[in-house]
Amino acid sequence: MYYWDNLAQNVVKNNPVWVQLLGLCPLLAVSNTLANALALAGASAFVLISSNTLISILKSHIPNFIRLPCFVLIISTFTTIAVLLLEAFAFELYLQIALFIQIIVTNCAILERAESFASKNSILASFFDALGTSIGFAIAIITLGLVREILGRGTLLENLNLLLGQPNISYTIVFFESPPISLANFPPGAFIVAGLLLALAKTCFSKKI
Amino acid sequence: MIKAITAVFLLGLGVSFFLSLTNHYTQDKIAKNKILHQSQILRKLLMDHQIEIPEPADPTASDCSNWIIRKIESPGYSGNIESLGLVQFRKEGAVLSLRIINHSETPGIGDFIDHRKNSWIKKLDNKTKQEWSAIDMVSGATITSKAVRTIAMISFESEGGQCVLLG
Repeated sequence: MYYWDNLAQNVVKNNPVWVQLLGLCPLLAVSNTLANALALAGASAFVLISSNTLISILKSHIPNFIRLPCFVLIISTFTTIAVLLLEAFAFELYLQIALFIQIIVTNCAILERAESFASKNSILASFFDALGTSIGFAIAIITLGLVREILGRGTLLENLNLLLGQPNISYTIVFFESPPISLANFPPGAFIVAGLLLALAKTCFSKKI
Repeated sequence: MIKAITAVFLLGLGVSFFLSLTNHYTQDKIAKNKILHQSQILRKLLMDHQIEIPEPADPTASDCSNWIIRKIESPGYSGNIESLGLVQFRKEGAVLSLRIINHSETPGIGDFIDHRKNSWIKKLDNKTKQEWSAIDMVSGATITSKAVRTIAMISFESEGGQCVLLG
């Protein structure tokens, strides 16, 4: 039960994005379409879960004063693996978001979980902690991607075919012929939309927290 | 101290083993993807110019008399910019159409050269050497713009090229 409580806590009460405000750099950069957001959420989850589990396995062998370089080494390894896998199995999508998948290394949500949880807790607990954080991050980036794609492009699920490796089938749903607020598609729009969603999340959850 | 160095060293060995394993299993697929991607761009480029696509198995099907394909690389702002150039020889002189295959220019600033993201490079289709040498620099992306101009100049000057499908 402890594991599930911890997981649920990381999704809502300790949400890495809306509560702790971590990992905003890749979040804002890639969330312009829902498909990109899904790909980044998947890659981040892969890196977060595998690096947290590995760090937890190795925690007693890593000397305390050199732990951060070791964590970064492990995280960057899994990021590179994620990039290679993406390049091999979803090449079209890789061409679009490769640079942003690479900056998962700098996602402080991952290093924060490694430092404050995985290096002190058991393997199973770290796994569930990472799973919870990944789900929390995924919910945040998918919400942002959803809102930004509808506002900034007027479509939904554009490029999903690239994510699924079927370049010839289109899943795009068109909401508006011309984008209602094309600013949302660009970096400044990302900050504005993220700020508004943050305010919304604060209003909705402030009483419960 | 020695304990720390050994730990980092062993960890480094461990992660490089993982990395080389992944690389071993993905490199063939990645190489195949790159060739496929390149030939798709080439097919599209030839179709856009109403050129009949020659069969890869039969290199004699098309003579190199009125068009050639050149693959040019030039350093951009970050890493090399790889491109395919279609040079057509017309009565008024040689004209060039470029497509970028691979680049790692800054997203949102330098990636306007990518025809999938911006129609800029398509607007420069069928331009002569003189027109290519006078293309405008994009502010904030001067190095990228210059690299494209360099690629265009090399495409006009270099010898060789081919009129069969690559890969």
